[in-house]
Amino acid sequence: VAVRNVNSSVLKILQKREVALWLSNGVQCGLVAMNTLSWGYLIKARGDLQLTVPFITSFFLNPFFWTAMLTGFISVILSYYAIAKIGLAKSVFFYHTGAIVVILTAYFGVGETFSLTQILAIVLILTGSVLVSRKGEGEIKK
Amino acid sequence: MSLIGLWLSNGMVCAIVVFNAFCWGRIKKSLGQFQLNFPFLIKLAFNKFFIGILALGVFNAFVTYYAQAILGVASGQFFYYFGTPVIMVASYFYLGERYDRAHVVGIALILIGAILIS
Repeated sequence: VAVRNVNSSVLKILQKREVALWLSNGVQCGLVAMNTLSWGYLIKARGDLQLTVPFITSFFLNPFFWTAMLTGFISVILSYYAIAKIGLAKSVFFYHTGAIVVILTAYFGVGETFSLTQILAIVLILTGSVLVSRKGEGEIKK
Repeated sequence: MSLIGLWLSNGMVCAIVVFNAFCWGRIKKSLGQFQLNFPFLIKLAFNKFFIGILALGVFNAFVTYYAQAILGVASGQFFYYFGTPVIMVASYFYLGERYDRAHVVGIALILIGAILIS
């Protein structure tokens, strides 16, 4: 049912020829990829989190931190644009394309490997988030 | 120790997500629907709730870094999907939202996934 809902949302968006929307989704995917790369390189450069003044200072002074913050922020602004344009339920499709971009960038860009448990967990989380974000029968009690 | 730290950071992120949702709700009330134009963005930049969101965003980045350094960038990000069912459960009790069987299955899948990934 969730897949059918997403498919019909995509068809409706295509029918409306929302070029600006698709453009913003493309930019958002690029930003998500840059965000994932920035976090990956920051972790490689700084290692595990330490609550010490030198670590925190170097953390905030690292350019990858600011790239991650900036790309994350613009990405949020664009997702609000998508929500305002087509509504929360239909914009779910764009939200999940971002999740796929994260996985691909982490694998190909950062060189992360995934264990079988991690893959299973990611599939469960993605399936679950598709199910919870569908419109369904959710309503406010009077 | 790292498992406790991970779930503690997840709890903090959930609280930030709830506060973020509250702030965006207040912004929408005061500024109306989101628009991608210069006057709206200027108004947004000087809104106190938006400034709150930005300040919390920096703190949130610091907290999420903790999980990403332990679990990896992708797994770390998926670990924080746990915030969605928390908001839904909070909405059920405080806003009276109703959910069907598919929503409940979705919440359960996210919970199992977050536990597995940690």
